[in-house]
Amino acid sequence: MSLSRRQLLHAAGAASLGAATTQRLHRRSAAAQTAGDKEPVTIQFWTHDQNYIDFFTARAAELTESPDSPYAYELNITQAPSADIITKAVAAYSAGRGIPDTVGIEISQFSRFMQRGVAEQTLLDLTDRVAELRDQFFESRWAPYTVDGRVYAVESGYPLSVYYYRQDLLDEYGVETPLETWDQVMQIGREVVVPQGKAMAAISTTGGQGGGDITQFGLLFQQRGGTFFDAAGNLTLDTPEAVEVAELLATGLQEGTILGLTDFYGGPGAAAMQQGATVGYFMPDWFETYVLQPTVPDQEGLWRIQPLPAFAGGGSRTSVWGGTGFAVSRDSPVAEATWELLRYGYLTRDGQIKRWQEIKYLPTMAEVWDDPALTGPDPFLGGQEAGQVYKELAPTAPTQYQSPFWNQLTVELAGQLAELYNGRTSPADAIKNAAAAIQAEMG
Amino acid sequence: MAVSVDERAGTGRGADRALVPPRPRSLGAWWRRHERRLAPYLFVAPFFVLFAVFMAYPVANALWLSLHEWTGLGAMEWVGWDNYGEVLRDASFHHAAANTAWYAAASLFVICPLALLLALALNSRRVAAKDLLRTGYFIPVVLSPVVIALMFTIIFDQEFGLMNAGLRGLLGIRPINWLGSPEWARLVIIIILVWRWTGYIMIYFLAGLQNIPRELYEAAQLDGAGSWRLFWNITLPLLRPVTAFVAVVVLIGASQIFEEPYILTNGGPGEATLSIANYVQREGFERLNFGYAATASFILFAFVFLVTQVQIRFFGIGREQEG
Repeated sequence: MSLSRRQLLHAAGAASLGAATTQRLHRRSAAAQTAGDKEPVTIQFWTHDQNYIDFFTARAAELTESPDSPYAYELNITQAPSADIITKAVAAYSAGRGIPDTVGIEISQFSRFMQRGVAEQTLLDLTDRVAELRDQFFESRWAPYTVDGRVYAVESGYPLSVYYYRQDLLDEYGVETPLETWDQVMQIGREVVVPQGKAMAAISTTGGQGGGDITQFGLLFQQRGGTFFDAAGNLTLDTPEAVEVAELLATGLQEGTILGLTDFYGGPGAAAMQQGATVGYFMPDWFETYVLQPTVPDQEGLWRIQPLPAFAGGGSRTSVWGGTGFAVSRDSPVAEATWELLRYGYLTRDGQIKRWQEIKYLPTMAEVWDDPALTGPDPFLGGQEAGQVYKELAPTAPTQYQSPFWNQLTVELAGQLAELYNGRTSPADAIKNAAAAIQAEMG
Repeated sequence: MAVSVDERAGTGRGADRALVPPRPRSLGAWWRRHERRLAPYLFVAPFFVLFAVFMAYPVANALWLSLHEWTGLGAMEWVGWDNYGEVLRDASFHHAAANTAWYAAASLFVICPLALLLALALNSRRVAAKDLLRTGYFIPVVLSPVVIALMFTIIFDQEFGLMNAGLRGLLGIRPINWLGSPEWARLVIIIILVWRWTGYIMIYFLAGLQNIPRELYEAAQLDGAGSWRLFWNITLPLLRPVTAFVAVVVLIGASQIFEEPYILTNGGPGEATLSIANYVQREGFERLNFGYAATASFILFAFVFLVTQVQIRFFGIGREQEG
């Protein structure tokens, strides 16, 4: 039998392919592979936060080296601001091409996926995949990424809120810490701190989705026991708790105990921090790594944290604000490999500990809080064991429910809060008007 | 109905038609026969092809979209003209339309006169360093919107802003909440519009002024005309075509204003600075109501079209040619 050159090449190719297939099957079953033998996978990784890029790049490298993973990962990064990255993703899903394999959805952007079946049509339903693990995590961090009972993203952190304060300044003014109640904070502000030309806290008054910023209002509202929407998606804004929080902020701004910043995260916010215009902030955990450390590195060792001062009327000593859920695109050609990376990074004990160690985002897995790795001293906080503070607060954090009408909430509430902060309306009217306007849009 | 040559040739020949071999033809021969008639169409075709692909089709598609509800995914749901009724009743659209009217009015009645004044100054023989000044006035147009946002946020910040520091230092005025108060925020947007676009509009007026023959001014001066009379009787009438062009362009541009409110206030506080273009973007990309957003776009188009028609009649654009 004679073979032409072409036939010979075809035969050789088929033999190689067969051998490779056999080898792959063997590899998977044996689960013992070297990086060179693995299936190469390039993941289109979209996010707004450099921390996630660093974290998942490290996890991808580990999985590529691991004998337990069949994939050799490469991440193709797309980074843009949190709203823009979702706009880009929505456009890609609509076009049906150029979609991300995984996308980090900042919590306030997730409501866009809650519109009339968008999540179902674009994101991989993770409900069954996380079913066995779900109980090991704080249930409150599944809720923000759940639509019609189905989970579509995995939370990147536990944004527990605390009161950050300048220990050196409060020592100088003779103020004893921790501060126990908001009434105490306001009184100390009026009597001690404001006369020094400083405020007890700063809030963001503009710059958010609706041109205003509801961050600090929302944070305190949830601490006080309120929620914007309930689990069923009904608006639950117009409550005495909301009025109480609005009154606290408006009074604080009028008296100067609270400083209003038009660009909290920009130049004016940085100026306030650098000049020590306020002795404290009430913000989530990410405020330290995302804002404080990069803005005032020279103030290392001067800051401390404590649980949020309590409201006399009740509520928790902490709150939640922010967060990012990572989702896998339903039509991703490498959905399984992407899910494997996400599972390894976020849903394992090691991944949760590494996330805290490397990018300082708090664990959402309950049992991890007992790990000694979380209880080390934080140099920026003067050696304080920040993990210990957060550990005590973690079980009491409120749940933030989402709604397709989050954008409407932000716009209307921000507008009414602006009126309130300018002294043109009362706290009760601001809340009532905002609730009525949102309800009207909800139909 | 069009009938091909082959069909006409076959008419009445019945079965014989199949026996007649087709006349051999080449593309070259066909082209030579039709060249004179088709060549002009080919020359103008690129414009029409591009217009059809990038303008007519998207506009028609947007019109179709405005008659549906659509999140950008899956099937569109036909709602007919309902979107138009809803948008026209939407309080947010009313806010956006009112704000846009403010921006358009400021552009027409503040930017245009200021630009003309600057152009007159730069056209004067008594002003030195004209190139430097012209470049200086034009720079805001080429600056990145991000830089503009950063700069103006810092200038107009209530606590740490340059503006409040200056007002406090010079006049003892209490800090103004420029970006957090609805009226002040709207004014800040208008200040940015003026700062950003006056230099650009000035270029048009300057070009118009430079085209006015000097002899006309000299003749008028010999007849004893003063500066005001020269401006009123020579400059303004001869600038009329440029003024008409600028007025139309400025109105269309101001009606579509997006960047300034978006980068500085994001339409807020509340909806105090929201423009119609911001509203369209918000409805389309943040709330995924693409049909609704397309509807608002068409309403904006209709409004701009009507006002532009009024402007065209007011300035008498095209009348000279007709006369």
